[in-house]
Amino acid sequence: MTPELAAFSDWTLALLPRLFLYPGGLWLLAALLLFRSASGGLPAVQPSRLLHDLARVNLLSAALAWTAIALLPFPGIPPLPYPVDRFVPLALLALSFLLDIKGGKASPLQGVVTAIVTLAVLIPSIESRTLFGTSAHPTIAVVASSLAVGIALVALLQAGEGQQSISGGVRWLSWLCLGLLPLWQFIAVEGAWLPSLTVVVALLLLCGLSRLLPDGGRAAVWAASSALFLALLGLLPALLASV
Amino acid sequence: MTSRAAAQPFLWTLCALNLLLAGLQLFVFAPLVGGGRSLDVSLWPGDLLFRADALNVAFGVAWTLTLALGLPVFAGPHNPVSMKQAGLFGLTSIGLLVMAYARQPLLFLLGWEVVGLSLWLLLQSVGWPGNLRRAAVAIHLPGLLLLLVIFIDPLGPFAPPQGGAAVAWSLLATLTMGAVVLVRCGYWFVTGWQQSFPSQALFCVCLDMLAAPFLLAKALVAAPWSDLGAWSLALMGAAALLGVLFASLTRSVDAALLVASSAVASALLGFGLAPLSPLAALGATAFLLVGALWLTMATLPYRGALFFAQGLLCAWLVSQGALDARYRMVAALLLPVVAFIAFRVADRPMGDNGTGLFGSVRVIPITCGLILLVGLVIFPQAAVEWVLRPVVSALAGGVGVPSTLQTNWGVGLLVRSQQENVLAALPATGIALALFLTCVLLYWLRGLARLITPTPAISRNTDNDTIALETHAE
Repeated sequence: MTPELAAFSDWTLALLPRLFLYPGGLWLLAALLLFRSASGGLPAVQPSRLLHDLARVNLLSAALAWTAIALLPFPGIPPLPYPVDRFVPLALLALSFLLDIKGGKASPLQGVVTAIVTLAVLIPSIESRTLFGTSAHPTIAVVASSLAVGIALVALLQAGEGQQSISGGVRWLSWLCLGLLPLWQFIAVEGAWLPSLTVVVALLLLCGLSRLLPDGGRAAVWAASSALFLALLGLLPALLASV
Repeated sequence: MTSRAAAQPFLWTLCALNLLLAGLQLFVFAPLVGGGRSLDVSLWPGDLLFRADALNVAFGVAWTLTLALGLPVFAGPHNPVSMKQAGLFGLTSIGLLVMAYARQPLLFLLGWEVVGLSLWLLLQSVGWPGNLRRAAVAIHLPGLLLLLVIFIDPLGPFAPPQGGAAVAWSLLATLTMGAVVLVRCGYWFVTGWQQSFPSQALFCVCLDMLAAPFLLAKALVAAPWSDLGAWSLALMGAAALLGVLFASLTRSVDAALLVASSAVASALLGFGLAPLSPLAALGATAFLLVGALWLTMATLPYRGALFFAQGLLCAWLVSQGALDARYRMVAALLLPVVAFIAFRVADRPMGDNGTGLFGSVRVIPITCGLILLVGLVIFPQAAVEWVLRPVVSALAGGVGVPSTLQTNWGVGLLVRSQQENVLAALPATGIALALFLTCVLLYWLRGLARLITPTPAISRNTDNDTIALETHAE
């Protein structure tokens, strides 16, 4: 077997459990159900509603978001034989969003928040001067980046992203997991339980926060502005870091 | 005979000629310039006028191919290509080829002026209601600026130095080249913001814009920028990109202009940083080439997503290049800004009648463009090894060898530092496999859901070309 073919084969074997078990596949399905019930209430997880949304799913958009989450370097599963940097899942998620807005259906706020999340997730990469964005200890930039992602996700919930379609929900979860990524660089974790628990807590927290805010565009704009402010706050020390 | 039918022979003759030109360049020059070689040609002894290297051949082929594939896409049913316009498009091809293969700055300038002149005459022939006098000044002013600098601070030939290290371009020359690119593109962008162009003219305007940063690539063949020059060009590119971002917030700029200008701004950034990081040069070259490729798909419904998909490899290369060069702001800006511009491109108008399908004429160029796009997205290794790496190797005077970029033909691309640390990784082929598997599974699940849900009726909404699924509850 040629080295290229061997590399592709190794990649495929390592990818399958990630795609269909954890963090994609079954784990993702459970997280999606929890997210839908937390953001849209019990009617959002009724079988008829789920089937209806599944029948309308945008294949490529949902597949891109699913693939993005499966590629994330989560604890509890062996790393991929060929690494994936932080830029790649971000780009996949932005592409998934763009595929969902055929006909100009998305509000400008969703576009703005997507750009803010993309900027926020890139901040650790800017600080460490590699697209992997690895950091040995929590810095102001990394903490501000994660906070900005969290608040941007609240803005997205307010703007309606996530509840409208399955691909939107998977994308929201992928962004959440990307925002939590720095955590696994500072805490040594063995299994999948702690990351799962962290995702559940963060998900419930953000959905609860979104429910506490008044409905309507103004709260979403405020949340988006706060996320942008935090992202810029994190960007400044990242630009000045001495690495 | 209808005017549309009468226009067909000119359109197809033009396409065939440009296709032939692209094929000829590949057939004649590709074996000659392989392995980093080049060919200098003189029309009379002692005066070398033309040069064929990987850079020149890549852009010569790309531009003629874009003219061959993009013209049928932009030629709408209400403004068929007349004989005069066909002649002007032919003149554009000649001008672009002179630009591509020029060895001397004056010859390059001549080619550029020919392209500008044919564009101006085209605007006149299609009855563009804008100010033609102002357009003439804007087209030729950058050329005059460049000419002035050629006389004040003589620019050497666009060829690598013969032995020894290249002396960096003076700050005046660097700034002038950056300003010339910005003025030439900026005029079209600002004009297009105020007043839309007819489809054929819009195509030519975009091509003219995408050809402008080639001046910087040509200059990098001979010598690098100074540190201050690199910083200035990167600053100009960042400002231009932010300008395009703010312009995209309004709804009055054509999608094609947004794409062309964002590609130009990103290329300006990349070429500015090129002497500091070869990855940035790779990304900048890719931006210009995929910007031209996008023109063949400009009328498709998912054009925003297509632009973003094409730009991924370019943005990835420029971002890591900017991080290598310690220009972190560029890396922070590029992906979010390109994503937002792609979002705004998605629901933009396309010229005056660009959305009207031109029968089956567009099927062939759009299919060719899509095949190239899928190849670029799924297998960027080929684009890097067969096009981008030879092109950047041709910029020997100003850009180093991109040795940190490694290709794994089975999975994707990897960037390693000199200390062998992995800096960035893009396993595009591996991701394509994952995407295929998830798409298949979702397809089956969706089919199952449609079987189970009560009497789903799919109706096509012709206005916005979306499929709406209406489920009638029992």
